[in-house]
Amino acid sequence: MPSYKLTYFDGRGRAELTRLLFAQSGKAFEDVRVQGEEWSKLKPNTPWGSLPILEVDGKMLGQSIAIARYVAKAVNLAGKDEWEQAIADSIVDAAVDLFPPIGKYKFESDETKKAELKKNFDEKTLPAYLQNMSKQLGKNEYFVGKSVTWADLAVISMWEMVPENDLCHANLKEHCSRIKKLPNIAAYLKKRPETAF
Amino acid sequence: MPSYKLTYFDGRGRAELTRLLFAQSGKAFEDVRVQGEEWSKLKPNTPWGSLPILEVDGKKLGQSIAMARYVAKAANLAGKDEWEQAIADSIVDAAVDLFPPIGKYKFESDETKKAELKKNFDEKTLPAYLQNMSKQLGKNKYFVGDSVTWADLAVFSMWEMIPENDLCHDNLKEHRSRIEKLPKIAAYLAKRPKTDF
Repeated sequence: MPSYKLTYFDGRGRAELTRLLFAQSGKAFEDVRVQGEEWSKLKPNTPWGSLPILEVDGKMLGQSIAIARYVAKAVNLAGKDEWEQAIADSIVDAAVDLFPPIGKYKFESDETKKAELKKNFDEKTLPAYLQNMSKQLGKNEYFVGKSVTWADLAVISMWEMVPENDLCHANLKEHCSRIKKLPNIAAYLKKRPETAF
Repeated sequence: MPSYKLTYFDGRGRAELTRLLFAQSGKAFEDVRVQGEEWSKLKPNTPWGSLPILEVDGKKLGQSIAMARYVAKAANLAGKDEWEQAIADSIVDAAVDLFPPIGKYKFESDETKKAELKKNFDEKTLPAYLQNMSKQLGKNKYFVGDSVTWADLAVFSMWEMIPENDLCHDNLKEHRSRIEKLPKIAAYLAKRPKTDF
């Protein structure tokens, strides 16, 4: 059994997908959250000068989606064959495409510009994204194949950044509810720390 | 033998990594390049309303990195075990992180803002990126393990967007030269169409 240590800031952000994967799989991992000073010291020792990093028996891996995929494969949640794995990969890539536009308006300091960006996000970016996700899911229970994969976890982890009423599409709302009720996920959501992001 | 059809605009952009993979593997594929009108008609029939798409025996896959990984795996260029595959994934993710900042200044219409963005790219973004890549490669011939993987091709394909002299780090220059000279890559580069992007 390898030892897993995940290091990130004290928030969900780019690490939450990996935490959800560990939760769903039941595999133990050390969930390290660093603050200001600690990060400055750690940064030069990380592969890309960024977080999250995953240490597996002491070997370091960076880049959040590469980390999540590695864990998904280790816990058989990556997809059952090469094609399903590719479809899952494509859904995860599409899902995390929501991070940049959200970051863009959140971190804009000019109030007028910020309001413009938020308006564009609400009226164009998010509806298009939801449309794509809803079309991809269709009438299926899961995004890939007939059971949970990391694609389902990736999609629901993105909804945490969007107000609950904004999902619009019934199939996406039902999917979100279905995933959140998976026993290991429900238990994890109940006990995870409340954080600002 | 599955049939492969790659569809993109008439340029390197987000499809070139997959084209390099087909070239290195020797696998045949149909290299479709669409123009304006054709794209408007095709768009609603793509999984994500975007290009490139890859059709394998008629089944469609979207998202450029997911399709490149699928082809890399089919061509045994993804990495020799789960850990090496994860490292390769992380390098590819880091490599393509250069697309957004380049796009940002290239497509900025305001000349003053454009010059600012280019300056920031040249003085901060690119040097940090090169530093990370150079550190990741170290004294090795290839980015992952002892032979070519898609990580080498991904890094190589990004250099086409920056002036040749800007690589700065010797190990990166040698690596680029090494990849350029791989017989199948050299042959591909000699005959591929010349395009704006």
